[in-house]
Amino acid sequence: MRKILLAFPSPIAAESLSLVLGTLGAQIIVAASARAMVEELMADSYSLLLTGYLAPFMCGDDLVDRLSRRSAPRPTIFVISHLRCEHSLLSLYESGVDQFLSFPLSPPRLLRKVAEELSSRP
Amino acid sequence: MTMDIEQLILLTLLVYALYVVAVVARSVVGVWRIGGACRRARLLLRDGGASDNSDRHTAGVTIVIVGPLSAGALEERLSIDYPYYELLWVANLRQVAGAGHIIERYDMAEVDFAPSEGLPCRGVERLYRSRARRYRRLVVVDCRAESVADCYNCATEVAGYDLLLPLDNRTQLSPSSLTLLVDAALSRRNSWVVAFAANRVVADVVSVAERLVLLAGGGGRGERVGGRIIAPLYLFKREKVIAEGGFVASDDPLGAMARSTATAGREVRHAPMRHSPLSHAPAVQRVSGVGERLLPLLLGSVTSGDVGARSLRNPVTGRYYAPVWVLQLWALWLLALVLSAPFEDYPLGALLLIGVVWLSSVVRATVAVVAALLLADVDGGVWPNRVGTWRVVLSPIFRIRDIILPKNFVK
Amino acid sequence: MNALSIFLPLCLLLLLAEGVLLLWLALRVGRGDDTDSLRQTTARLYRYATDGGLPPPPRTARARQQMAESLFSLTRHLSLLSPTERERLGRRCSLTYHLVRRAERGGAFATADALQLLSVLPLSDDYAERIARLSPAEPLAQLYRLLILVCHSPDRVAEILSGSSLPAYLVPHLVARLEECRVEIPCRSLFATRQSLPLLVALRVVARYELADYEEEVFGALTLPSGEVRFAALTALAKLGATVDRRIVEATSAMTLDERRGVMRLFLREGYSARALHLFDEAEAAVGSPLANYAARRLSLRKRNLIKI
Repeated sequence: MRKILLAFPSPIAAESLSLVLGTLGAQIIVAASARAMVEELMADSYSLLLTGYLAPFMCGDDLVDRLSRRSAPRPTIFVISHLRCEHSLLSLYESGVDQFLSFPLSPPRLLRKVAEELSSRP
Repeated sequence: MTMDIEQLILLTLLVYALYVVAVVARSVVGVWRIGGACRRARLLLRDGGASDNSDRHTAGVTIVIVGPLSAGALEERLSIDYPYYELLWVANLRQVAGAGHIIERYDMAEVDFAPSEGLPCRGVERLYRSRARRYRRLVVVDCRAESVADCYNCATEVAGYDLLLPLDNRTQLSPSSLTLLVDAALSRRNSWVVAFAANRVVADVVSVAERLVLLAGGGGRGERVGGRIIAPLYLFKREKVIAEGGFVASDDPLGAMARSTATAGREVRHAPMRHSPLSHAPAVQRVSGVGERLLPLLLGSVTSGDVGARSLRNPVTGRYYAPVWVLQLWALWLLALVLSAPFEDYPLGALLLIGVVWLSSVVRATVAVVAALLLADVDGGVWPNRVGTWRVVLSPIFRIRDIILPKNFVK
Repeated sequence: MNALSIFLPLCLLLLLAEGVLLLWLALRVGRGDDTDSLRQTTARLYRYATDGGLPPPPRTARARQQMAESLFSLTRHLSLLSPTERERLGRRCSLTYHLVRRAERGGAFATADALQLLSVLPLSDDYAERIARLSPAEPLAQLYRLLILVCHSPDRVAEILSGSSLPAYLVPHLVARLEECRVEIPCRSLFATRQSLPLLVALRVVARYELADYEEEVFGALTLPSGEVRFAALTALAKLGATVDRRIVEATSAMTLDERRGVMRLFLREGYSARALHLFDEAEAAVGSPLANYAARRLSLRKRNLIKI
């Protein structure tokens, strides 16, 4: 079964996204903080990460590199945030994030993207 | 007019009772201000918190950290959720273990250091900026200056944004700290605002809240405030720092800068280039009150039991604290009088005054717990629950302990 | 009257006071945080969006506040409920009624809180009129009041902005929220008003989307007496990559040294070279100002570094 990790500063964002993604039939885990998110990612194997935390990708932790070096395939990473400035977006892509989406999200569009991503993974 | 011993005791008790009532009144004002700040913070953070809706030219912040940092500590400092900030780390890299590894890890390249603002800064050896876009917010200054003020001045020269937040290396900001500080700075148009970082290594959450309540209430003369339990976080406007000629070497260069820009009673303004229909006369800026510069929130934490230099001045008003030993001597005098004198002739007066002191202790402890609850709501911090409740029940005993034990001097 | 008859009642009074305070504290602390109930309310709203079944109207003020907060946060994160559905929810659960009443009667923060929550609820004309009659002093309340009025009457943007006030630092927030609400901002009409707030909004839009078509209007804003408008116009010109000419230098001549330094740093941040700012240098050198050659000195801080910040 596919596993999706959600990590957002706002508990309502995490709750609403888990409700939207609940229809996909994947197992959804919610991390309470950025630190908990990183610990979960290193401890287990996930198909997809949806997060609103930018700092783990831009603080020198090289999170994506560390995930890539493991034997298990790294999760696809979607960052979802209210931020829209070009500098932040380019920095995220440079650090290995796969996709950036901005709030407010359209649930059908999100479902389509996530479903496509999950089906394209081995 | 001669006074008998009981009248003297009563008079002393009356003075002390008035003093504690005044402190309680300040505490109530303080918790009122904290409540207002917390409500405003909740409004800001509920609406998406950090976003790039603001303008980076006015809302960009340069955080200056002076002192050695480990790689892990540097990572934590780069984990603030704010779009427009840079981190200027100023340190003598020879004294930092693993400095070479940090420079390599963040893909730093050496650049020229060319001061352009005329501030006194000595000791800069090298300046590094990152080649990688995602680490561009990090700037490293290898500085061997002897004084912290010189380090701050170097950072002011290099800073790319118009707001400056100087910190020492023991302070860590909370993720939403910059959002709230910048909002306070922009909404109040002062040359600086001050918030606070809590040191929970040396004090529990209720002690921290009690300290903040007193500061927010404009108090702090005879009470134990400042020092190790909470540390001020000053957000300056870079232009004002330059206009004042930079930071001055002293025990507390940040406090000195805050006082010089606040108590001048006027803005230091230079004349326009030439007369124009668009020019306006330099305004005389009135000295701001305590509430206007103060953001009574805990926006960070101090990660060490030792904050370094003790602050002997109130970070908001700039007034010196009365030494705590004065209060301790006074309390010992009272205790001696109470234990030695009979009360047959003035029982009601004595009991009322003792009752006022008792009730004041309870109210102060309650106010501190209320403040701790409010502050926990904002940053999702620790709830006081049982600790707070016992503090209220036993508050007169805690009060006596706080006064008498000598280690409480400017803690 | 002996000591005991005085002492005992006093002790009882003190213990009573302490007990009341403790009870209040215990209730407050025992309630804990509201995250779980917010999650449950969010789930109910989600079911309303997917199944169409309205949640039961909240019975207490606290439950109503939670529902309003959940709806606000949900709307900021997901385009889940249409304006019609939100309007229906607000009406049937009495959210709109109570929030408007609190906005009218509450203190500064209560009004701001109510207006913030109302900003995601479409209003009828009556409620919009009542909101229009408010004149809050708190800047955040002013922001949300404007947002509500403009979203209610998007064809009257210029009129609404002309009759309102908002601190300049909140104008970017207003523009971003109007963009989220898909409100079309008529820049030409706003420039034509020649009033402070409409101009600030128009200049922000021009800067944000780099609308070069409005360059002449932006230059026109440089001649206005308001310092905030002039600074916003300079920001917009810097974003547009406009050539620094006599008009820009003239606009800064009325500024103080600190402000002129701020303007030069603004252009430098947008990537201007020292050569592009040579007119500034000449003007500063002509008056013997310390800002002569400032741009070149600042840029040398980035020498040997090809990165543009």
